[in-house]
Amino acid sequence: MRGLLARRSLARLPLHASVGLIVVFMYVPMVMLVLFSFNGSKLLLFPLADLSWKWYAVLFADHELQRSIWNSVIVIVAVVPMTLAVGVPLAFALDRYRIPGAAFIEQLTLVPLIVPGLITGLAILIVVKRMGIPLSLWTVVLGHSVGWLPVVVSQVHARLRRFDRRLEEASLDLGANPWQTFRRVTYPSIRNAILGSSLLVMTLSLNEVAITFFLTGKDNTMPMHIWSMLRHGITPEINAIASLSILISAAAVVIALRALRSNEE
Amino acid sequence: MDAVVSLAGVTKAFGRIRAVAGVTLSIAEGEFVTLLGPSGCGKTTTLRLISGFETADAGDIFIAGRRVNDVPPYRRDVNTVFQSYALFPHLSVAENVGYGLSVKGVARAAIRGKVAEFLARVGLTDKAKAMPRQLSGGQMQRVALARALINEPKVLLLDEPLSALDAKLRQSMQIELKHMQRNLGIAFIYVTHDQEEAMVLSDRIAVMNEGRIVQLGTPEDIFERPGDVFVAAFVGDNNFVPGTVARIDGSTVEIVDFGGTVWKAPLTRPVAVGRPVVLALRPQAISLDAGSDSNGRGHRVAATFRETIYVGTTVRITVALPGGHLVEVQGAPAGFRIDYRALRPGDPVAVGYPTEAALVFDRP
Amino acid sequence: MTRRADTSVVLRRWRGPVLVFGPPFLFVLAFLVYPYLTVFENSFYRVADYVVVRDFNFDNFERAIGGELYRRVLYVSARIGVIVTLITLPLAYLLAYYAAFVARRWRHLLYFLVVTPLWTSFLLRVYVWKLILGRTGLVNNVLTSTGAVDEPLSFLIYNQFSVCLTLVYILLPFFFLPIYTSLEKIDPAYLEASADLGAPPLRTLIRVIVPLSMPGVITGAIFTFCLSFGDFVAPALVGGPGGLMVSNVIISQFGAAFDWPFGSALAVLVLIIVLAVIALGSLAEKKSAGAVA
Repeated sequence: MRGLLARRSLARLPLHASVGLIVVFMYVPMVMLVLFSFNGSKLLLFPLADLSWKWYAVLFADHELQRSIWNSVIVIVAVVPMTLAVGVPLAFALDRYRIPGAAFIEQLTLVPLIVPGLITGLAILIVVKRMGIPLSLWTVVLGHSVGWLPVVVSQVHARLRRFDRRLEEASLDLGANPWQTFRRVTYPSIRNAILGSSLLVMTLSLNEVAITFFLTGKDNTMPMHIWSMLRHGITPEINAIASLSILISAAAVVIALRALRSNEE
Repeated sequence: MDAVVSLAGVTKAFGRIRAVAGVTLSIAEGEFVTLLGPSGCGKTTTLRLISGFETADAGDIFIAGRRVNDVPPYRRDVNTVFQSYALFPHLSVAENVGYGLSVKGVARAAIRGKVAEFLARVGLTDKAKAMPRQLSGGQMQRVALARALINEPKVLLLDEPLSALDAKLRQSMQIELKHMQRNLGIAFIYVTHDQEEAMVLSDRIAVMNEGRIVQLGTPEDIFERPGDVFVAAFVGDNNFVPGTVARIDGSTVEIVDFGGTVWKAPLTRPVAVGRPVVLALRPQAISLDAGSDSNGRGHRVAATFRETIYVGTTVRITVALPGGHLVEVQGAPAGFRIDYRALRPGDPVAVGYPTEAALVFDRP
Repeated sequence: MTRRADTSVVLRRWRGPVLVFGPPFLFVLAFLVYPYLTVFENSFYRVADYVVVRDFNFDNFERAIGGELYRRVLYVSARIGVIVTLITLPLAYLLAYYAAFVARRWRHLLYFLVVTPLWTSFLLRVYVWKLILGRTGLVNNVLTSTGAVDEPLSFLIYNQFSVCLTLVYILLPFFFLPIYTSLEKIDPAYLEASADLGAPPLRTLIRVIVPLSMPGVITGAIFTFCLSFGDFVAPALVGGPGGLMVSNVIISQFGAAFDWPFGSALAVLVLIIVLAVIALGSLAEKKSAGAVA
């Protein structure tokens, strides 16, 4: 028996090794970014010449970057409620009413998720130009709201499908009116889906470039600012930004996974 | 009118299917009425029409004398115990029970007192802080009951509330329900497909089939004087022997079945000679004699033994009539006059029954 | 006697829902459906003196498909999409299989490790390959400083190879997620049943696990293809002239070239290819579902 087990785990060695290699492939670049953000010299070489915080100092002195971060925050603060205001009622309508072509409408709202973001962006650009609206942060907000609508609709709709409608009947039966029923029974069970998808929309929006590309005016979002920095060549300051961004994202993932996992229960 | 709930010609269709087809029913204060029928007979839809989750296509529904056809569920003085309880998973037991009072804006202190009272009533005082998923089936059942009753409804609707429980627990819950209903004096409308449960609990039973009430009466009425073959078949076990009326002799009817066997039954409804009928005979009403024995009472017919099934408290014996039709005989193991264990398939036996135990229906 | 289905009741019943659900539907109509349709409409116009002229013609499509240059860009983009999908598939499958059936208590950690990059900046994850593969990047620095090569290697970056490598790196989590979701749903009882029927592990994998995970594989493949086919960041940062893709051409039409109608026509072609791939995918999914059932 032991021999058999040993042979089995031996046979699995290539499996373990290849999975290990893939994870290394995924993480070596990230680790590198973080290490080089502390690199004193401009030369990319190990061992690091001298450790320093100087790129972080540069980062914190970069007013343009700070403004772009602030712009990104504005976009997120507007996009999350927008997608919720549109996506949640849409998910409800798709779940509750026998709308002719409901499946088609749902597929339609999912389109921006699959179509290259660039095309979604230019489609909205044409419409916005046609209406004579100047490009600004608000056109970016519009683009992101359309682009991330599918996230909210699919998450909330998935939760609603698993929701036991008899709980609503029980609530009405006990004398709660429809609004009380929504607030006290329905909302608590979709709360985590809303929370999880909000967080998802937040990080997606924070990192978005494709949709934003055509819709941004003179106020740049953070990724668009980084984009323009990258066009000017490599500066180690970007490594510092990247490291911070990895840190923030990892924290967001932990929170979002928690919320979505309890959503599945 | 002292009916708590009354339905007059209520009809409800889903697409082309008529789920409820003209139901008229009146329930008195403090009465326990059961809607009994197979699945799809319209009993649950009838209940949902009363609670307000469905709106009637035609007919009127009254609760305490008020026409409620257009009143939404949350403004009706009825409460429901749902089939799978529908306890709110995110609220504790106490919050579940207090829900109805809380949405009506009753003060917290008052709610707390009443919740404690009703939890004590269902014996769950120590579970007040528990969440529904931590409860057993029987406990969830009690919470659902307390949650509905705390609102002091004019009538309590129960939709197969015991169907998820195992047999033992179901029996004890039946008794508990009955006691609670008597103590509170609230009318109960109870939906079930379990005829035994209906018998145990109800003051009156409405047997439903295909959207209609086919018979309404006390458990004794339904069991002993079923109105048609459907009720006779659905409530309790029955043997059905199809045949033709051969002779009418005073108060007795003689029926000849397809195998030529002659049966006797009391004349309870007008029939004519030559009419196709079905004779119904409960297995418990039949006795079994050896084929040669001839001193049994009542009417006797000849048959052959087929098989015995021993079920503990009773023994079920199947015999075949000359025409091949099978008849089941049921009795306590000690109650048989012959040693059924000695019977071998093919042995001649005699089936005897008191004439008044047989019922005659038109053949559908 | 009391049949009530008159219009006032219907109106009263539907007024609430229309007020609540109407605006979201209008939003979808105005900012999702209408814009995509506008791209379609625009693709039939032409530009004269930097002004869009609205006369209906097929010239843009003739130019896009007929011209060697643009046909080649479309072909290269699609080929990169296919190559990236084919390379990512085994990697993602291996990871998902490992996470679902082998990792056990490491399962959540592995899932976390694979999914986290999805949430970090797309841009920065492309940029890091510039740091690794560039002329003064990590690989070349190491190679020249150790004396392995005299001159920095130039074939590492600014070609289709570097674009593919970068896209594989970026899209691996996208491919992993749907496969993992479908593998996770497989009832272990099936695997036990298969083993019980005497199937060796590899056979169980091929006959049971792979067919049951096909929907996830197809979804992942669609995502991976569409996202790599339509990407513009990787070709712009690590692609160079040889690694130019269709999205970069579209950008130039909306930017420097200022030919929106032609850019729209290219976008329509991209949309058609993407939708065709999705249609093919759902067809294959139905087929595999039918084969399983």
